[in-house]
Amino acid sequence: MLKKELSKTMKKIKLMLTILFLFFGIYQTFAITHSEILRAMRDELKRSMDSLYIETLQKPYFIEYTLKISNNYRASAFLGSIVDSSQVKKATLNVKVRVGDYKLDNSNFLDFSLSFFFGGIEEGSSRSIPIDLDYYALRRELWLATDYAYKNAANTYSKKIAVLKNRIIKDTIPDFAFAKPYKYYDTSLVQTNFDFMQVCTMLEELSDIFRNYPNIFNSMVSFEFLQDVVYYVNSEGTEYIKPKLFTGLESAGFLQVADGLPLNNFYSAYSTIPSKLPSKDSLAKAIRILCENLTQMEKASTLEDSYSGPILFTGQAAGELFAQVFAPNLVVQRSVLSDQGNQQFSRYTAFQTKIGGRVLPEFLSLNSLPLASEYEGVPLLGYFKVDDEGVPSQNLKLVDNGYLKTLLSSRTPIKRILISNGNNREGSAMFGNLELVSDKKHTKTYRELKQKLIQLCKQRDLPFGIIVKKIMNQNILSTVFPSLSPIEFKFSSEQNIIPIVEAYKVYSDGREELIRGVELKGISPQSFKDILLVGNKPYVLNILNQVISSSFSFSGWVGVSLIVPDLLFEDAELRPVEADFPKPPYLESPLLLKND
Amino acid sequence: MKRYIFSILIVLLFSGLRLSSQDEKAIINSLKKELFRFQEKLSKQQFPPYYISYQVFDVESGGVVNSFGKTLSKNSSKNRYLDIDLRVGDYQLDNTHRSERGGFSVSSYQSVRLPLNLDEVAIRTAVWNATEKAYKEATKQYQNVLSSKALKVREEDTSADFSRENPSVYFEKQNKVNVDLNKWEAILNRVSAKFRENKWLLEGRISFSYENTYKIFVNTEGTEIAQNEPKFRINIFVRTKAEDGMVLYLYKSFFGFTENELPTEDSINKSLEELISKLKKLKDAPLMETYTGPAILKGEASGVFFHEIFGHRVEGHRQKDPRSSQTFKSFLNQKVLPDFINVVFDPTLKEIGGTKLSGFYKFDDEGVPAQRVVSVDRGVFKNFIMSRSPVENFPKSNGHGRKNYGYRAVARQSNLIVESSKSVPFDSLRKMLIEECKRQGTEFGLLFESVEGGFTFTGRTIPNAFNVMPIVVYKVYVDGRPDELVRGVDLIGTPLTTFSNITATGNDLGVFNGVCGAESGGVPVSAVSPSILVSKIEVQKKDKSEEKPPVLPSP
Repeated sequence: MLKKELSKTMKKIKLMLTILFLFFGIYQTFAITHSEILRAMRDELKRSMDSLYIETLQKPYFIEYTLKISNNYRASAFLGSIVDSSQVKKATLNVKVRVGDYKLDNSNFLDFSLSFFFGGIEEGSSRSIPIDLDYYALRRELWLATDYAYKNAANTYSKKIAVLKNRIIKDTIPDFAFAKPYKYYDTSLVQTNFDFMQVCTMLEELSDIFRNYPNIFNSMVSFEFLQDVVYYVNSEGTEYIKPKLFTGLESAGFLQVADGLPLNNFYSAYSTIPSKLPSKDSLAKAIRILCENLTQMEKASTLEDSYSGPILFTGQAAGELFAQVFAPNLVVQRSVLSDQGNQQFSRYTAFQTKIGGRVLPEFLSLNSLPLASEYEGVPLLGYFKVDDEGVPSQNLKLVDNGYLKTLLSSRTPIKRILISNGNNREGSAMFGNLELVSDKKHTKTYRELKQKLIQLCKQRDLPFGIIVKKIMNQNILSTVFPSLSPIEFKFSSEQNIIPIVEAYKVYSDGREELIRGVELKGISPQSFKDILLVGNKPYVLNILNQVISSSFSFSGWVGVSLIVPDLLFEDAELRPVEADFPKPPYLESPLLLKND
Repeated sequence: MKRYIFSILIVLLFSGLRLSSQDEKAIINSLKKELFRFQEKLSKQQFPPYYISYQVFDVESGGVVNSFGKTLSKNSSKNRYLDIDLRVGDYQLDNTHRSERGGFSVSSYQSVRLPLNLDEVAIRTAVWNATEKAYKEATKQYQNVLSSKALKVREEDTSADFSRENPSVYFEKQNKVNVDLNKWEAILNRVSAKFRENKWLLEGRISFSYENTYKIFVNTEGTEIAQNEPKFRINIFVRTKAEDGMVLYLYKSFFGFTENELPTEDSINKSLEELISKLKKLKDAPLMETYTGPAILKGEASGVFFHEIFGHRVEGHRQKDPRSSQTFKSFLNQKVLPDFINVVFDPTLKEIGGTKLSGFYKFDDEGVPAQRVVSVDRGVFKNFIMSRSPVENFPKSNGHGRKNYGYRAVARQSNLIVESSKSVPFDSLRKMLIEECKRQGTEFGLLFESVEGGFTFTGRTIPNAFNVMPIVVYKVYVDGRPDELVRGVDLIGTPLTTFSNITATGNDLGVFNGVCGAESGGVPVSAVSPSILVSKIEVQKKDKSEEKPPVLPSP
């Protein structure tokens, strides 16, 4: 906090020096420099603020430019051969214009006109622009995009006013929160010596491991390295340059047992840059374990009936459960107006009105840690110094001893939270790094947790308890699964169903037995209030999570990290997967054919 | 004959450098092994497949897009896609039988990506996986077909679901291309600098793209085909707005089977300048008012016109679909056009008058040899273009079953050629237009130079009435004033009457090469036609965009 009091000029000089140094160090491949990009953005922004208006319409009161220069690599391999690889370089421009004022502007309004479905040939948002930019080429693009965005905004504003005239609106929450100007320039962290060929060779080697497991009839190893540099300028004086880096390696295997039940297992590793992924040897080991587990699962039994009782979630499963069920409720969601009235969000709204109320047991607290770049040596994906609207991020206590203190917000206010706490990610309020912490008394070793589980089962006359160790990753579920799964993959229409990858029965003597084909039913955000105990070794789960946004807009995926200990729930329900499965393969896999 | 010698020369020149044909053969053999394994092993099932085909699209593609002298994107990729057509039941009634609601069942599978390495086990495993899925899907569909058939009244069209065809065997070695994208990037950068000199242009794009597709097709009937379908293109697109907000654009495309068949930098330059100056004129041109009277459609415009409003209506499989308008079903052996006009679909033609035709191919996507089909003979409607989906009176394919990867083949156009036995030099045709105007008492006639068809940009389906947007139209005055460019013209009317109003044609030929988008994906086609004189055409004012041109001047 004290640092802010530093003389502004001092700060500027320091920044300039840093930037100049970095310009020459890293960005030699770009024809245009950072400062030229920012200059073009500033110049066109100023011209637009000064003179862009049509007499009969409102003037813009706020304009922001976001330019993203991306260099993305993707590849996937099957049984030792690349099936798909691509490198895409692109530059995307987003221009946002607001007319009216902070209290009432063109935002938070849904216009269901034809352009909502078809759009025009002109683009103000997600506009593809040339990759080899120069000052004038960029200004040209900004000019056209701003013109389009302005007309669109002014048009939406008049429609919104028309709708408001016919309604008694109780909602007097401002449309846009003011934020102090902030400047941030991070031009580090861009990897120039990345060898894509080497990665492709590695993928071929890793995918070849599946050849030794002919019972696994479909498999895939895929890789993604997304490297963005984002430039942002707005009319309030906020500016930033920041990198967005994401690297992922995913692998999945599928098989079908005699009764048709499809089984799968996956492995994923996510990080910022490729060199921070696990080594090739440990990736190979992880994939071998995946294959072994899947093979074992083929012989495993399933549950006869639904199980209702205590369940212990460990490691990845605890993190994934927390990410899927609890965390999405921690962001602010503003309802939008349309000519049909207010459009409410239907998903993840459990905590919107719960500030001050209890949401976890009193021994648990939850921190949002966007400023943490790593946790015990593991790089965290939800690390950012400044959010996408240029608001500096801050570490926050979201839940204090069980009670909800605040929600993560962007510059779009709701009744209880009128300012941004710097959590706009890809257009909506979204979490980055979350850490669930417990008091000492309720923190136990795995052994103690297991004993407690057995004890609870005895009290309830249950022959066994359940430990869940792996839950299906949502990103893999939506990307890799539909094409590889032997069955038509249906996203469950039922609420609160979570597919389980690895679960174990635990008998009173402590013996663990792998079971297959089960799913978790009915766990809600409220269920977390009934957590009894937690583990002493928090698991760092790095994943890609879908941005929580309205169902009317496209939502991207962002990297998030969840630091969550093992979780013992007093009561939860696990049931066998029931569906009409297609028959297992009619023919033997070619992997099993000796020669023909 | 000349071409034949030339190709031998090429083979001799490059034979030393080329890989052996082992690569292609390895893929074909892997496919055949799985094909016959499935045929044999599934023969004892309740619903054995009576037909299986595998089609592999080995696609090497790439391109550069340039906007205002700056590279917008540049990419190249290599992919190997597999499509399966697996049928249970029999030729008369199978799982592809159109569903109860009418229309054809849309296959739910996407193309499967095959490994790019030549690894037999990996390729076969991927093929095996996909075939298992296709077989399960087909038996499910077939059971649905059987149960809905039992419930329904007799169908109007009782033709079979799949035609019987003789097997074909044909093998070509895979073309190896070596495209220098950097060279093209530099060329585009140079020529498109012209865009920047014209500040009033809102969009100026030029692109180079290539698709070196090698198609392998094998089926259980013994057909085995491997052929190259290379495509090289240059497209130019310019857009602006008139003062009243009307969006105006023009495009120009070039096509070749090899990189060398594309125009030189000089002629690209020339075309680009012409396009810009024409758009500039169009921007300042007066608006067209409502008009009924005679008109000339120049060759290229007429070709697009025929493709859209005639060609799509004679695609055979549409005659089975109760939802389709089936305009020509009742016109078999009847007059639909003036008796001096023939309409022919000829995929065996590689070029006409020195211009390459992009609808050329040797075998269609169902392994049937390409054939010349006379659809309209001296004004009388004779033939639909057919895939292996028969319709009443047309039990066989005529080599027009086409698709892109990921789709099921249906009847699609190839090279549409409008032939005329009543052709006059263009100047005479113009005089005839003026005469006709005088007879009808109109002050001017219209000359359509180019139109935007549904097939210039992919992704559109069949046009209902006219889906042909004129973009360059002139008024030809009776009193000898110079021709005047007008904008904002919208064609209206019904197709059949327009056809019957053709009174003469020119002896010129216009060629349009493009990609046609419909239910089986984008396929390359071309349309060739002389200029046509139509005694009566109706036009109205086009809806214009409400958005004003940019408020601020270009920076």
